[in-house]
Amino acid sequence: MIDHAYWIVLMPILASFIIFFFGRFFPMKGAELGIASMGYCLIHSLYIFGTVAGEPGFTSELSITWFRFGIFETQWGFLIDGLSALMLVVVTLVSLLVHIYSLSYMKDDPRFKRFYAYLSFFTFAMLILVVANNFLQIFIGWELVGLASYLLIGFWFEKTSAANAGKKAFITTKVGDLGFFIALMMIFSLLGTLNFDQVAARVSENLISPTVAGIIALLLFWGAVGKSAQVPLHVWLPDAMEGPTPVSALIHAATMVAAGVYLVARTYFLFEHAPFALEAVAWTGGITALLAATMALVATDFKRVLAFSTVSQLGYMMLAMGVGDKVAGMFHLTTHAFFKALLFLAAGSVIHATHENDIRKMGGLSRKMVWTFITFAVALWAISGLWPMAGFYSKDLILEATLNSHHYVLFGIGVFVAFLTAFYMTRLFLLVFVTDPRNPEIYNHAHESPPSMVLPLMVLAVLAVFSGLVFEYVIPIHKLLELPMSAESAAMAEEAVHHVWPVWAVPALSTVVAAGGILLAFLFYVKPVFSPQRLAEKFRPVHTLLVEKYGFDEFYLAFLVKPLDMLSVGLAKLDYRVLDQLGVDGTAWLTERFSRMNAWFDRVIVDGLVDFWGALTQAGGSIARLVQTGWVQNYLLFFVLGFAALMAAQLRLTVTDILMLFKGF
Amino acid sequence: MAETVTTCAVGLQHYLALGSILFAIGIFGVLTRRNIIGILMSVELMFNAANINLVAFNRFVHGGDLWGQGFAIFVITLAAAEAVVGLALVLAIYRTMKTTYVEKMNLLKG
Amino acid sequence: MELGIFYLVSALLIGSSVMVVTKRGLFSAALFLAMALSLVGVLFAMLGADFLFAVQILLYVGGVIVIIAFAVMLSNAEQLKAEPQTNRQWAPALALCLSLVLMVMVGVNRHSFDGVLAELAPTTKSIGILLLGGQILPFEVVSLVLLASLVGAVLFSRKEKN
Repeated sequence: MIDHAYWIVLMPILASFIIFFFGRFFPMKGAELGIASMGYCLIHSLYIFGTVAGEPGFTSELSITWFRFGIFETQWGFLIDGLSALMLVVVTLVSLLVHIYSLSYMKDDPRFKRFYAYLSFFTFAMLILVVANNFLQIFIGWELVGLASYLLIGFWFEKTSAANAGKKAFITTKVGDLGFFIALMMIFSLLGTLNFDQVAARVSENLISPTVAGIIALLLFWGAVGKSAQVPLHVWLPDAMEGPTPVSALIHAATMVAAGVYLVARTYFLFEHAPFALEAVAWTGGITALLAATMALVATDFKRVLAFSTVSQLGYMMLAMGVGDKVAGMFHLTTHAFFKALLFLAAGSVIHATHENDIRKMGGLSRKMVWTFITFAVALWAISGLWPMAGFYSKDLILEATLNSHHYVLFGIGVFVAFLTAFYMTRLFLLVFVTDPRNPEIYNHAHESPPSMVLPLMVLAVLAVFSGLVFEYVIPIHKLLELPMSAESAAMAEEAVHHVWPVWAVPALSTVVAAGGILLAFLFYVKPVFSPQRLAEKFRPVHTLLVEKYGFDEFYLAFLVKPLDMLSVGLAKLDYRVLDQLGVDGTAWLTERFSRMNAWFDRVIVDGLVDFWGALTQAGGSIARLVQTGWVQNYLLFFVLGFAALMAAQLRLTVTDILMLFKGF
Repeated sequence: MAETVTTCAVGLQHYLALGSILFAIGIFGVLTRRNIIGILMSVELMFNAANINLVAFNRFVHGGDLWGQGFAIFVITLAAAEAVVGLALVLAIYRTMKTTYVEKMNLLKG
Repeated sequence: MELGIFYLVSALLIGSSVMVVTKRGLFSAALFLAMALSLVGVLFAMLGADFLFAVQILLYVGGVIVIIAFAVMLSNAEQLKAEPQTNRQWAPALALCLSLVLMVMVGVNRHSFDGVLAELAPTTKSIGILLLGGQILPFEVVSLVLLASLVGAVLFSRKEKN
């Protein structure tokens, strides 16, 4: 089965194609086809995962040559190892659940069929990315998920805000992709190959200096910054919430945004070769986590809070990668995929029931939407990192790694962010479900969602509960993701073991911090010991800063978008004035002038010349015609004239001869 | 120049000069006359000029026989014949065109 | 003496022939032509061609002039006395004729005519012998020509049959 792993990738694109073109013939407009194909993919992925989990260090690589020039050849690769097997399961599982969920959520949408086609297409692209064994293929998958994201964010393109959000997402990630592409070119030109194994081998042979490797790594990371919405390219993710909620769940929580983290994991050998790159990664992650968490504190749109939360958690993952613990990062990626997808689907459930996004207008929905309430609570527990939820294990692993690698500042930031996470998530939970309803209309209208929506919630809740335990004890993720370690990471692992702190220190700290956050939220919103409004007013500048998302959007608008706009307008004017008017029209005008001159010349001079000869001939003819008098005596005159002339010539007549005549007189 | 002009004797040149003058007058008449009969008369003059030449030469240069004169007789005969036919034509034309002016006889003129 | 007569005769001749070509009245012109032709006969006589002189008078004056006179009278030529009878190209014609005369004279002057002078004697008999002897061929041919001209004259002067 592993040999035919490519079916996992092929199935979704076939499904997408068939749904798009022939979906209308199906009773469920192609949705059943999408679900069926995704179900197959999941089963196949589970099978592969089971095989891989059984033998640690397992790798299987299937390459199909795509094109070759010279000695270089590009391949379509299907690399199966622990890392890709894990991602396969995550992607196909969440995708399947979203497919099922969308049956109800997108039921009344006129472009239902197209939605499913896009979902399958996205899954295909993500899987291409996941099973890639060379840089080019991962880049292709990268770009394709970007396209799918654009299509899905702007799915309701009649809303200008949605269309703009799609554009913003695409362009912002494109800025990141530029770095990715430059890195790609550098790798190819310096190392002559794009295959992961070959590059890793050549890097370890020190074919390129650590500085160069670091530059390449940072460029790759820049791509990850775009895709995984790290600061400063995070601005697209909050706006991406314009898309349908299932999309947000699938792409912007679980999978696509995780692609950046996955890229770093795959190309970790480059990062290990240049420690300064790893530092950059860690700090970027940390700062992102902090900034995003603060912005989530004051957000009032349900999905936007979750979006900021996603950015923050991605920051955590990058932080983990940066401090040397790739395994922790991937672990958190997995658990985050489950509970964030759960959170988003639950949000979708609420939004679907209330037709409202603003949490200020909600409240008391725990009574109306029981299952949603329960599953959301589970997710909240998970994201806060409380035992025994999944989040506890993965988050703690990250914090430990930070501490053990002596990044104390980052550790402090990480702890603080954990506190904030607990706080704002609880705030969200309380405002939506626990506090008294603020809008009676919405409250009355709310009802529990249909089973096709609730079922995925429950599945994810179970995963959120148990996946942590599973990956910690049953299928130890360390063993699963055990990749051949380079010398540097071995050294770092060595160092990590010698830590001073007791084993229970970090978990205890994180639990205390999380509990504190939850409690504080209760104090703010349930028992109004503190009033959020008064706090906001007291620290009005801070509050505004957070609400305005630190002004990133305004900054980009003023310093990037506006100048580019002006440049475009200027160039357009240039194109019009100079090239079109002066150049093209001018040339046309010149040509017209010139041809007029030519015409004049042709008319007057050339034709005149011709006419002149004609006129000359005519005149000559007219003159010559005069000889033809029709009068015989005239002809006789000429006759005699000619005769006289001949005679004169014959005689060689001279005047003396004539004078001689009169000599006799 | 040959010494053929004797003292007060009429020589060949006299007759030749006379003949040429007469001939020229005849040509003048042919070229100038409007009336067709006038032209015919001028032609007669030309014939006679030629005759004078013939006889003069016969007398002064070719004294052995009378071939010049015999030739002149033929010329006269032919002149007469030609005058007859010509005048018959004139009469025929006159009957149709009612005119004897040459310039009016231009039926062939395009 | 002889020269004087010659000059007189030639003056008259030239004068009358000029009249022939210029006179408006055609009948007068015809008469002048008669005079000119007679004078030519006189010249013939001076040159010793007595038979020719007779022939000239007989044929020309007695024949041709008569015919011309008939033609003049039968046509309306006489009535046109009022109009000029010389056409508009008389000037170049005049110049041409003068130049012709001059050229002939020049030619004559250059040339020396050496030859046998003829003896003056009655020529009738000799001409008769000549005509039917040496010049028999032209004689016969001329008779054919005369026949042709007779036929032609009759033909042309016939009235059209309606």
